Amino acid sequence: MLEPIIQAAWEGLRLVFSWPNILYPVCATLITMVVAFLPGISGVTIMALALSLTFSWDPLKIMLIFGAFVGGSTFMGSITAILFNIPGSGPSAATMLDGYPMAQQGRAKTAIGCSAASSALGSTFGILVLILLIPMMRQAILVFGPPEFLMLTVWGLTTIAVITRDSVVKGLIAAGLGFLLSFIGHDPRTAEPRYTFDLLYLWDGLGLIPPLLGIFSIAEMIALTVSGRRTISGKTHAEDLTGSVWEGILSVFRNFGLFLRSSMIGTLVGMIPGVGGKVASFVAYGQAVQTSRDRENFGRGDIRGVIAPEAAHDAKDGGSLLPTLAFGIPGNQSTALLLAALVLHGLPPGKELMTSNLPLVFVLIWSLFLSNWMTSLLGVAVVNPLARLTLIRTQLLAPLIFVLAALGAFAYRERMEDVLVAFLFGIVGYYMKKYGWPRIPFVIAFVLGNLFETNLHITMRLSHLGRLAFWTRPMVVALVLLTGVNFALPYLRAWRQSSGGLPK
Amino acid sequence: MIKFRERAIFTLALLAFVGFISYFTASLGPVARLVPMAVAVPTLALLIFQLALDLLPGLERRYGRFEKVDLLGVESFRKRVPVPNLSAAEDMKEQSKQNPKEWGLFLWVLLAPGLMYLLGLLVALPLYVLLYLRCRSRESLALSLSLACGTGLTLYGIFALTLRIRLFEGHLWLWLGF
Repeated sequence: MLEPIIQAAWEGLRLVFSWPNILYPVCATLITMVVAFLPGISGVTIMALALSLTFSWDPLKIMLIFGAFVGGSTFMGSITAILFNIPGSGPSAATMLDGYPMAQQGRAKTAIGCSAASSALGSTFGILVLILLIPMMRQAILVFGPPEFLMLTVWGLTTIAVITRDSVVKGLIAAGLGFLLSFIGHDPRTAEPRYTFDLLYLWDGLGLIPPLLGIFSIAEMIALTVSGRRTISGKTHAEDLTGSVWEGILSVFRNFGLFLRSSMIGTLVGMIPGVGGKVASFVAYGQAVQTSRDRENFGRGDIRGVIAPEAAHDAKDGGSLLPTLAFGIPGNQSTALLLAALVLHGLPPGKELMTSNLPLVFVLIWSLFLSNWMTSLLGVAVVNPLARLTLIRTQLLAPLIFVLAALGAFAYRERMEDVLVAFLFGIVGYYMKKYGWPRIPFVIAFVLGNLFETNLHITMRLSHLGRLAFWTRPMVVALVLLTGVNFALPYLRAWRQSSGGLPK
Repeated sequence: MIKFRERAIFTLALLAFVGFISYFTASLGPVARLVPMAVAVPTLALLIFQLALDLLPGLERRYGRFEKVDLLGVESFRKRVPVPNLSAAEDMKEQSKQNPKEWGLFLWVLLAPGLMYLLGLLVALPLYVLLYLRCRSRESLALSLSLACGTGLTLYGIFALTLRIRLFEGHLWLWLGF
């Protein structure tokens, strides 16, 4: 059973690394890297553009460039998240939580090194799982239904309880606000407009990027300017920047268990259609906090808070290719465009693609692999100039960040209203920060709220119709147990500590 | 005894917002309001409690432990490891009084979407960079101009030419009949 797969994998590898084929993924990766550095613009924009420009190309070249597009943008979004608290894309928002505080401490190099290593190794993990699962992908994907989605979001939401620190009341209120704002748009079951106030803009909901840009990057810049801090890192000379790339890279190996768990979560979530990288990143971040013994530094520049979301975010690319290639079910926006490209070039997904065109599938996989490693290595190579960006004076940086945030918000859906939303959230985010209201619970609830509600309704309806026995599904039981364990673990630790089982 | 504190204004604003949302939620159909209501009502109750904590120092002293409750044992871990003062957020905690710079800065922040709405992205963003750097940051004219030009060129080169994103053109030109 494995022989044809190994042959196809070898053939795919040979095709990618032969001349002049190699030029396609390399150029596509470089273009994606440059463009993905701009907030709000992801690989999706490039893919949409490439779709029309490459109509006459043969399928091999399409596989070569689209694999690079999928992989190239992931890491670059994290760079802006670490340096300026600007999420390049939704999933990078989780990297911001600890990456930016590291940059504020002058440890941007360590954070970028760690992000690059987690990113490259995470994508390798995702791709390995993809290759291993090709023969048995059907069973793996069909395990997940609405009850499993529901429990996955519940698992992610339990993070709120762990992350909320200074004031539980404020944390819960922030989560409630995040939930309420995620409900703007249509009710998922009846399609009844909800909180739209007859404004066409609100019919699609608030979107993820504008509130995130506001509540983090604009709020942060206002805070920096008001506080009178001279630079992001608080330092003015390159010699004052501490940390090193190697420290960041080694930290991934020092926390290898966390890296593996996060990559596994990323791959699994990537396989589930419609969930996307942002859920993978936040769920991975949550499990990093929940499974760590010393959690006091999370949200304040803990390197593990960079490893977990980065590994998950990149590992999900491999996972998301599974349902796209096997069943034609795209897991996210980029795989939806990949699917469109495949169909346009006469390669419909399914049995034929996975049998007679298997070498082409491997071209896509190796191109993704190459692109992920290339972005990480280039990121590490230019880490010094990147880290120096944290030495730019706040007075000079502030208008540029406001402009970048405005552009990012506009480019997201090409709507002026998104820009206004981002700036209003910027002011709200500033006051949240000033008065000690935690913003992380708000973001987690905002990201997961809609998914939670949709799957709650479907699960309730199926259960009501007698078509679903919630507790007989093994994955549901596993996720319920996992959630329970997450809640119980700190109490068990406290109990063990008080009885002298753990060192104080 | 009630003691008015600045932070209560923010809590009050949130309370008004969630109160409005809750009132609106009640008018939705039974299915559409199910989950939002389950979230809005407890959030509203918690906001009222938070407002009471902000306004009544006696209550805060009495229930302060609840506000800082160590739900999952995180605080006990924190106490054992000293955390350095890291970010601008923590610099800000020290500034308990309203900073007069805030209001001026908010005007500058809101000027960006305002200019964009009127003049369109291609004109507004370089102009905003120029005005901010020259008038607020008091940078030299040469630096302000070069960064503004850089912004304009990047905007036009990457967004308009390469990515073919249709940049918003602004309403002022329409009103003036261009």
